[in-house]
Amino acid sequence: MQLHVIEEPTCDYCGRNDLGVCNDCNRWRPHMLINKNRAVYRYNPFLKDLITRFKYRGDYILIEALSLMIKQTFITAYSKLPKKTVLVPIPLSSKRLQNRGFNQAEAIAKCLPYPTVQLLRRTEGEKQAKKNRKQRLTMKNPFELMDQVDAELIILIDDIYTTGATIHHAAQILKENGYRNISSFTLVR
Amino acid sequence: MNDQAQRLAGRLLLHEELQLSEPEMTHYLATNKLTALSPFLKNFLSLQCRRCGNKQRHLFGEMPCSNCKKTHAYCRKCINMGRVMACTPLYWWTGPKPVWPQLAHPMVWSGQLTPAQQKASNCIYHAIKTGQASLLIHAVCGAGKTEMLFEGIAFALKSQKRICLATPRADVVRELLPRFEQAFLGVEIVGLYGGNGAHQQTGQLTIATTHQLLRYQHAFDVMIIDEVDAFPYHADPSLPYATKRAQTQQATTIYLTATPREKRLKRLPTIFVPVRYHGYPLPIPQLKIVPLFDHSHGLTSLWTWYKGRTDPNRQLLIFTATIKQANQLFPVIKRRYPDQRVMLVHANDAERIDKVRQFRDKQLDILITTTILERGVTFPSVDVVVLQADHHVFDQAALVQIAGRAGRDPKDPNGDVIFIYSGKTRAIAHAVRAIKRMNKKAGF
Repeated sequence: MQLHVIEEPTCDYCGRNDLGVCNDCNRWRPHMLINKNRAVYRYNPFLKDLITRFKYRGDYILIEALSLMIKQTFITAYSKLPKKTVLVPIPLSSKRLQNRGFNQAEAIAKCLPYPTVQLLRRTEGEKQAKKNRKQRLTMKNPFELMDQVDAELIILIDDIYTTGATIHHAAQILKENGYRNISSFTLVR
Repeated sequence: MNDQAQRLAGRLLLHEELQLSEPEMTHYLATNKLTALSPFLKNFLSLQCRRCGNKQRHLFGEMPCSNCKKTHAYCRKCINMGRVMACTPLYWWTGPKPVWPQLAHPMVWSGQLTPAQQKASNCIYHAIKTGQASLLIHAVCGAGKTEMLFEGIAFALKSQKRICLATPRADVVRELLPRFEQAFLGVEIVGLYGGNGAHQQTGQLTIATTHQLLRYQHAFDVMIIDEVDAFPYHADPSLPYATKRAQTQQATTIYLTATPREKRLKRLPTIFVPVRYHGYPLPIPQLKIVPLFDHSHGLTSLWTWYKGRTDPNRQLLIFTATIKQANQLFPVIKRRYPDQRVMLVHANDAERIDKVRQFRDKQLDILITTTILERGVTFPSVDVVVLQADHHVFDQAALVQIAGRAGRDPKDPNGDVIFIYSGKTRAIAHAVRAIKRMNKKAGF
């Protein structure tokens, strides 16, 4: 078992390559919150262990092993970006950030050649990983805007895209505050 | 106060492992009951992790820390026990020493020791009483090492000493814990291994995997190290480092082994126990050679032996060198013996504990396993087959231990031990020779 790079997504919305177009995407698409999501790797047990070690145990430098692939995938998936493109990593709640010592989404954003801006703040809440599908989809939006930026395109950055709830919550807040053009990029789909 | 002293004394913990409230924390730190120690020891140019002793540069990482806003080092070697990093100290109890309950007769075990066991038991008792620095007990598999320890441990408990029994495997901790709980009544015994969540408890008697000792410093007056020559103890330098640090200055260390191979160990004062507790000799492995390019990979030998085995009622343990091989073998065995209950167990198996218990309860007939069950675990009546015994994971110590799984019960003191291989390795030859030599010494 090893890393499985997603070369050609089968779903043009969420960027997965194992099933065709997925149910989750059919639910999100009409909301027109994000243009598309792209991911570097497919989720598998090997990657699960890697994420556990990187994110939960906090072995930060593992990102170095992935950074080249992250950059390459990003450049292929998002060629010809406008000049004013800004990366917005999904924030952690302050308590969780204190426990972990770093934000994994920021670590991923650092691998990419665009400026990172911390636009969002997260109110305290349950871990997304501990919730089931229904809880994720019905929960209230945990994000709020804490800054302004002049950007033509915002790319949200996160580690894992599962149901898409996190990304779409964040995108909704941005949309409500007048940002029109939003995409997202994750390490795993 | 004594509660906290019992819980925290002798331990080296991260902030979140202390589980103290903020006011308690500040109070203990202000009154010097708790001391914050720097997490890394800085020598001239190198770093050393205080918890695991790691000095290797590639096992330190750097991270931009959001708490102290600096980029600093963290230790990757012991990261599975919670991250040790430059901006968070390790805490160490410097308050009053813990007081353990005074017990007149902690031991309720009333079994009988064999003369050989009694001799070793007396030596252990004596070593603990006089504060002898170290003692090596070289006892064959099935000699009854655990029982030999009881008198010494009882003495140490009575004299309010703190004792640790360290073993390389979690399975062994799980097996020993109930035995000690039965033998010692009213004593606080705690079993520690990765992932059992008990590392908040402490007791006067601690049974732990060697890795758990990374959380201790100057804690134990008596340190008993089981299977000193087993993986990973002899392969990972942080484990000897941790066991050494976990002892107090005047501690007595007792090493237990069935296969001493390190020169260092051979120089220690040694007691040799060559007889099994039931008085029968160790089963001698039968060697079955198969051609190198045998298409059945030695399975034909297994089928022939299985047909003619001495006691078909025995359970069967099949050892394979790798998890992959075990996975391949599983369906083959199942197809071959459809009326037998076959199961497969390896280190990454989530249901491992359950499966081993099922095998012990005789709910399974055949268990395919990797070397994880090579030592410490006892099944009353089994035959043992080692496939690809010439693989490098089966070194001499491993083979002697594996052979020692058979014939553990006085009701069935024999058991077939079969090594199947295509090229005889030094390990195989030496293992057989060692077993024969031990039988000879025992007078057979």
